Amino acid sequence: MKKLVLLVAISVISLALVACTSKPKLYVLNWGEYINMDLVSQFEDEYGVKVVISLADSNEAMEQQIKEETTKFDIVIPSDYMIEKLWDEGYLQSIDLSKLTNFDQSKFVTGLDGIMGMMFQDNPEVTNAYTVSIPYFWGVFGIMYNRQLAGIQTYIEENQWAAIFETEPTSTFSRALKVGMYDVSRFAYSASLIYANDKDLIDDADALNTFSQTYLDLSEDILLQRNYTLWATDMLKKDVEAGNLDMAFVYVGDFFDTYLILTENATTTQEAAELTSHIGIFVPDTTIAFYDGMIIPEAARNVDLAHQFIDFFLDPEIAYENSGIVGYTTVLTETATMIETASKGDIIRSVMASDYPYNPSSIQNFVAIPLIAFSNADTDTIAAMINAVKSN
Amino acid sequence: MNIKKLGKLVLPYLVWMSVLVGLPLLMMVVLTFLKSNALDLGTAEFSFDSWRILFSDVTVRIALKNSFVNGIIATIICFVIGYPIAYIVANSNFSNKLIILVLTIIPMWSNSLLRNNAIANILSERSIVNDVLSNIGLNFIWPIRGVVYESGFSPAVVIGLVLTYLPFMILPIYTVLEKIDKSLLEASMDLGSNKIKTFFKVTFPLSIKGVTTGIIMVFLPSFSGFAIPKILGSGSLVFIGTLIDSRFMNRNYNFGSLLSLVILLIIFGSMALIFKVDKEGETLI
Repeated sequence: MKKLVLLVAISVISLALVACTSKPKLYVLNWGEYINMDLVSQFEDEYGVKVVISLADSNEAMEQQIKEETTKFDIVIPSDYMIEKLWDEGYLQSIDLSKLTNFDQSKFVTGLDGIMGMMFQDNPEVTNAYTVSIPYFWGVFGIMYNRQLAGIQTYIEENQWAAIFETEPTSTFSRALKVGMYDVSRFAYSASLIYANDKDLIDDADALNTFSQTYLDLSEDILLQRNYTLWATDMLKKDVEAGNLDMAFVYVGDFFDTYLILTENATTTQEAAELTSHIGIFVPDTTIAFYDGMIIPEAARNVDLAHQFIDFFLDPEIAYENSGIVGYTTVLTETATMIETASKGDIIRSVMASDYPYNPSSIQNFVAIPLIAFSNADTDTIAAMINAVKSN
Repeated sequence: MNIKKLGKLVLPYLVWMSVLVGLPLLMMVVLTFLKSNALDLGTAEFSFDSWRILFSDVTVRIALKNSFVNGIIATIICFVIGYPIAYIVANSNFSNKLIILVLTIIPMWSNSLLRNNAIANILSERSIVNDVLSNIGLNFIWPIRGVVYESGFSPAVVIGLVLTYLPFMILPIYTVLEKIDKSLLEASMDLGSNKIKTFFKVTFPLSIKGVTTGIIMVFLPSFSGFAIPKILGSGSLVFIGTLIDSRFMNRNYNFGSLLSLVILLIIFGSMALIFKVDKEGETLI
């Protein structure tokens, strides 16, 4: 009996203690490997709060979590088309730019500005896309390849998207190519339609953002042109790096992420070049662009803290530390300059930035088009088409 | 004992079950006859679309076939490996049999996704195993990750399923074997049966309850899962679970519910099978 009393007493006291020390909590829904956790701790210390991070592996998963409101997230970082969709459906609240001390529209890199300009074109109510979401990282899609197969680089550069979507002529390589496809139905659909436009199968540069039965059938035919060794998302980069795939359709950031991991212990540029000599990235002339933006859901509880969190990551120094871990392209010009000039002493990343001009310069060498939102029914139809392709 | 008095104690359980199981089930049935945006019933329309797709869509049939083929093969392999292990442990003279059983469960203490990703790495072309095999000229039997035969059989997925669900086969069989009265075996021997005949005439029939439970506990998750085929089937092996996942992900709750009901029917069918074999329901405990 005494023990029981003691036990109850202890639990009551500990509960009370927890209550005393309980800090405000900021709930963040993010992608995996997409934030520097040291910076999160720094933010926690500076503001005396606790940041709780949940992960999702697709925009659709984020959408579901925002709509279900099982956890009331304060910050979510979905991509462009999902931001547009969530805004149109009334799940987001606008961001008060006056609360962001580090915000200045001219501080964002030029290429990104173009994408932001294309957002909400059809929606006159949104005059400034930055009041809906604050860009976090951005980038384009490309083809990551493994150089072990001689001539693969030239082959991809000459054939562009066709390298992914068409089976190569039998005599090109000593064996059949092993190709990976991005396992998000919308990406596969849109990329296949860019290819169709390149190949003059259709004459519609906007096809990637158009849903129709004709395009759906066309996309299915294109995706059936070759057998993909692997349909995956985050696994693709690892398998290209390991040589299990010759090439894969990935985010360019996937390549940079792999590059940073491989060169983690490198001290000289020579060493970095040797460690990464087996992998390469190519961006086709026309490609899909994206940006991931921090948004505040309508249901958020800690709105002020959410603004402080956004503001924190708009600090160029913080953004620099963050991009060193994440590998995607920074949205701030000042941070991009820091990386390129190695002013912070990080020579490896400056080499990466100059060797691969997609990072983080403006979009000049290629046309990059952001995806716009499709309705649930259309997205579901595309997903069903992809499942049919896979099971064929 | 007063049965009526005890009957009242069941009430909270009944309320609990009807709110958390009955109601959602009913909701799922209703959803299959609607065309709605997720759970938004305000804009929903009455529609037979889901049912039409169920019977017309080839993908559903292929997914069901893939789930069945791999699930059944994995279950058979689990039985072939699991029964001898359970038998040996149950009849051994080890002072602490529990330790042996714990050893079979220990892998389950790590996350199954992590384990299956590790298996995927090992089964890949660039792996330690393949390096060794290709050095001794045996590289043609590897890699097996992503290999899918015409029947839908994927060796890598089956390996993943077996490694994940084997303990569910061993434990129930062990439990029944352990309970068998040894004097029955002695009687059989006394009456002139040899060891093999005793096994098939006495031990195995007495352990059939454990086997049934084991089969159901391995087959059901193998059949309805989607994570293992996704990781080990190279993303292109569509299981029925994959379809449900994709439908719910795109907020098509109507067709997703219908597919889930199809799986439920299969599960109820299996349960009916269990209760037919084992009327007291003790194997499920």
